[in-house]
Amino acid sequence: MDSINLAILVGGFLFVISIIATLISARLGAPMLLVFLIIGMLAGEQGLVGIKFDNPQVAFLIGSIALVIILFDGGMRTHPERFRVALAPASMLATVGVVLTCGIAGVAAAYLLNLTLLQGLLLGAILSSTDAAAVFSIFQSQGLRIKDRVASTLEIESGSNDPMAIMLTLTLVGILAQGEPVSWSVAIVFLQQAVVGGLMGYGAGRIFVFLCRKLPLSFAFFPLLAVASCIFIYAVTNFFGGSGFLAVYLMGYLVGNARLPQIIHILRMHDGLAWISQIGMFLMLGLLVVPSNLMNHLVPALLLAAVLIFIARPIAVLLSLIPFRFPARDQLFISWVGLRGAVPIILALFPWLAGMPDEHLYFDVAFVVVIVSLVVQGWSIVPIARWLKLEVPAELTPDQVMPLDAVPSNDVMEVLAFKVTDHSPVLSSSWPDLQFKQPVQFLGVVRNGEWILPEKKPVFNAKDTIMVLTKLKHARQISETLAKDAEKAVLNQSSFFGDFVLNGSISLSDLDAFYTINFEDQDPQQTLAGYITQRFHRRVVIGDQVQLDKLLLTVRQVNEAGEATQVGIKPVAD
Amino acid sequence: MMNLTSMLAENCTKSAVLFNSKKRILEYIAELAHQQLPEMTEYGILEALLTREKLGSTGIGGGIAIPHGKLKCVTSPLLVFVVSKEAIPFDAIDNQPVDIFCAILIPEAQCQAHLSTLAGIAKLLSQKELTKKIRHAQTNQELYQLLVQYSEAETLK
Repeated sequence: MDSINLAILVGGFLFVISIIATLISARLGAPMLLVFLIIGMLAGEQGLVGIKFDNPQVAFLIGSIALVIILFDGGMRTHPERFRVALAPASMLATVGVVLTCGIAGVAAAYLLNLTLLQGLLLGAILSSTDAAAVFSIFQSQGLRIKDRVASTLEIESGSNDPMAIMLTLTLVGILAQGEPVSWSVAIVFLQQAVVGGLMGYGAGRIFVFLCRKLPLSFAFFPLLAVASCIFIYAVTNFFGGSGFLAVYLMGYLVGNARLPQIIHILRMHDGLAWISQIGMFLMLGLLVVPSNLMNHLVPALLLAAVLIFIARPIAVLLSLIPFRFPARDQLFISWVGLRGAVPIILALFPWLAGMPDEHLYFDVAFVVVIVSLVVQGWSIVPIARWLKLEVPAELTPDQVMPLDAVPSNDVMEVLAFKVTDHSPVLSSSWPDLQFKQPVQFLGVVRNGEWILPEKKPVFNAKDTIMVLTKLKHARQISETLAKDAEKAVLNQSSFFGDFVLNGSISLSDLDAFYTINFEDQDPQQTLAGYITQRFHRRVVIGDQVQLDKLLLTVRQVNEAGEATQVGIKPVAD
Repeated sequence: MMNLTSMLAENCTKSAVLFNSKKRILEYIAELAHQQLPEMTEYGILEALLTREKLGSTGIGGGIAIPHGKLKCVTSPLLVFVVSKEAIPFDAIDNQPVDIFCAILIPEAQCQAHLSTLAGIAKLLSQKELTKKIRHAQTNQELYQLLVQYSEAETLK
């Protein structure tokens, strides 16, 4: 009994410390995952607490469940626009890109660590996937909004390349451990993984959405149902020879975008669960490693990390993205954000579980590479995004969102609450002064805890809370007017996009008539939106810039078909 | 950076006018500009402003619009500053109606160069304190003094 209580005590303590440590990481800008890893190592056998944990089975079990939850959460937060912009390029990166990374890193590993080519390739495969957890958490935690093309590609890539890496690793472990011959059946198995995983994920997502609409469960149970279902689907898909991770990611995507009334509860709970999973997984991996063992192969591992970051990833990105003709800055950033996270370390458990020789070598090298990647790449993402000018002004959001989920409606309805401050643009106006293109109902303000009804036409004072009722899909536009930092956002936007806008539908000759721009051989009847699409070869995203003469045109709004509807105009900076 | 005073005449500064549509307020601006530029017809000036509005609204948000147009006959930019008593729908970026209009007529060849002038005006009008005073100005003269005072403070910075 005492030993169990001791284990609970230590576990609880580590979690508490980790959660508090996120504050430190926010202050230093250090990747949180790294902080958790270090806390785990400090608690480990050579650290301060001296916990001995060397059970790869348990580690693998916890790691798999944590990854399932993180991927489901990531899928739910992936918007359909993102899929439209980035599905094809992300798929290329997640397949061809992973193989290329594996190949280049594998050859380098064989050379650096004196391994056979196959062993080197196994190490390459282990290291070949970018980590969804790491990428998602950095984008979310740093409040960084970068251009959609880049963000979507990275997110979908990181969500979907784990299956590929897992496949490659399992295959190579099979060949090395049991001496299976290399054959084309590998390709078939991979295809089966992808197809079964995709189908299961799609089916499960649909069924789950259907159940959410029909089952008269208490609202508290839907988030639990989501957790239980995603873990269940992961296992079922694996059982049928599909990729469980792919299925869970896809299912999350369908569930998250079905506009379910319960979604806000599910998202809220999963947000917490995804963090617990991150913390738990990294703490555990920190505990599992024996720090002094890392020294055994430190120099070659560091060199391998350098090869991965500066050679393998850039080449893989460059070649995979050839058909999509991404702008050079975008490609450079995608190359840089080849963040490695927990997946390589978990994959490095496979050789260990299979009882292969040198099992610790894979684990130790993967561990060093992941730490280097988290430190070097994770720490520098934000400055690099700014340097490459890929950051776009953040969207405005309400202070509180309360879904009206108890009443079934065709569109999800929400009550939004906005705090008024001394800097709110709506300060000292009243509701009738404001105009909205979207349907929205004013519910009054809460002042000193008292509700003032709309009929009283309250003038908005600082510290008031404005409440409105609107559809979920209009919440963004409403926030642009009511959010307290709208003023600041307008300033950011005007410095980013320029003060004035052009409609995407105007023709080049209209533009020329006013600004006298030499378009050379362009068709004067072509629309501005068409011209920008042509310049970018593919879907245009917010923040794409075109320079015309001394004018800098920045895409400010994009419609569903991916055409620019509003383009900001400003002079080119001297 | 920018000397508003040199572009703005006191009789082109009007406070508390009363119009109810985008077209009407632009016509009024054209009328005021015409008094400064007798060689241009009112209609010609209105045309110039409307040409730019067709490309996209000049309402920059926060109840402010900076309509602008290019004219052959002007040699230096001319400002017309009008404050409406009631806000007018103007298709502004933030969908909110507009009550502060700072129109500017630009010499034809300098459209690109004057984007920075426009940005300067936008920056000047981004001061909440100023727009609050602009909205409360009772007389044309008070409004004019206010603009001169603030644009000089801006030039000194």
